[in-house]
Amino acid sequence: MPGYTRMVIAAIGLLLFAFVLDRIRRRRMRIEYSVLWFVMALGALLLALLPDTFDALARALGIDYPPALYFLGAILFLFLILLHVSAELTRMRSQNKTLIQELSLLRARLDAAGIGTPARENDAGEADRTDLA
Amino acid sequence: MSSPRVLVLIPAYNESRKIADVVASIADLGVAEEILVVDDGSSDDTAFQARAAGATVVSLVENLGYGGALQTGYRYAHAHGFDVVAQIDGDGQHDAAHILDLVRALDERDLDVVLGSRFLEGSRSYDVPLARRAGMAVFRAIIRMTTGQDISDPTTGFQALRAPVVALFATGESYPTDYPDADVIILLHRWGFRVGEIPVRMFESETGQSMHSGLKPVFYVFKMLLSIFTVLVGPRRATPAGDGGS
Repeated sequence: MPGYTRMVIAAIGLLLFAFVLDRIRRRRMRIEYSVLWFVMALGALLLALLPDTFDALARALGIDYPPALYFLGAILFLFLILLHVSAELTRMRSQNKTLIQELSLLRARLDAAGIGTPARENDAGEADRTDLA
Repeated sequence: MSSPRVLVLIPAYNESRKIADVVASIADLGVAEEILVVDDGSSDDTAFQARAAGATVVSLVENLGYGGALQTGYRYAHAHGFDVVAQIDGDGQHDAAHILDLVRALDERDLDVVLGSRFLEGSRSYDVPLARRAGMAVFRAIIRMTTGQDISDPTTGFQALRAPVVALFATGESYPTDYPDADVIILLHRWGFRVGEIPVRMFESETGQSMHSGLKPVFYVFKMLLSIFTVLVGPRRATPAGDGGS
């Protein structure tokens, strides 16, 4: 693998690493979601540093064209990340449904008790937590 | 059970033209201690009409779909200690008078869930399109194979349920958000509840949007088969104390 190719791959790995770290610092990504991305960045760095090892690994696995192994690895990781996102989405939809139901029941009880409920528009004034970081 | 406390539950989505009549016809029966309309995020004045007709109204702050609206009603019934939930669609396609038959059948036939079927002998109903009839036949066969029981109309929204069933539907993860179907029937069987049917009269929905319309049939069948699979590999659960199992 030519030197400049290794440098580009290393740069991608480092950029990904820095990007995810920055997301975490700004509280824009939860730490548990960052793990798979860090592994991906690490993989890119290792590939740039030890290309011969990867080539040997590919041949040991019966892959004649070593870059195919890199793609396979990347695709598998993206797969994992997507599965993880699907699972999280399912969990959040379930929680969201419960919240909508319980909130609506509570609102009806308040209305029935004549307490009334505050106006629905509450978009303003949400604190930006990044300022606290 | 001498005189059970009955909640009549009506899930409704944009039914402002029908809902008042439905509520009024139920109130006339005198069987309901309370009539609850769960307004599934309607954009019309369904909630206002229902309230004016004398129903308790819970308006969902976001549209959840048919099953999500029903489950909201189950939560309400569970929290308020009702013995029986009788559920009926808000579009006027069910003949409200049958609520009495549904509730009576719970006691007379010692059932936990009574379904109002439009296909049983003695029921009078409209024609169902062929494709849908075919899908129904498949699920009917699956129900027969898995439960040994013949249920002619598993998708019916016209039902009466006893409190233990309501409690499980209200709090569990297993109740579907979209359209309860054969999966729920099989789930009830596995949990040891007794399910039966009575014939009811149904009309074709007069208002434009039945909650059963607009589904992509292929996806629906696929989803339902998966859902049934999930139920079949899921845990059997003992019936809560006080109610015999099968």
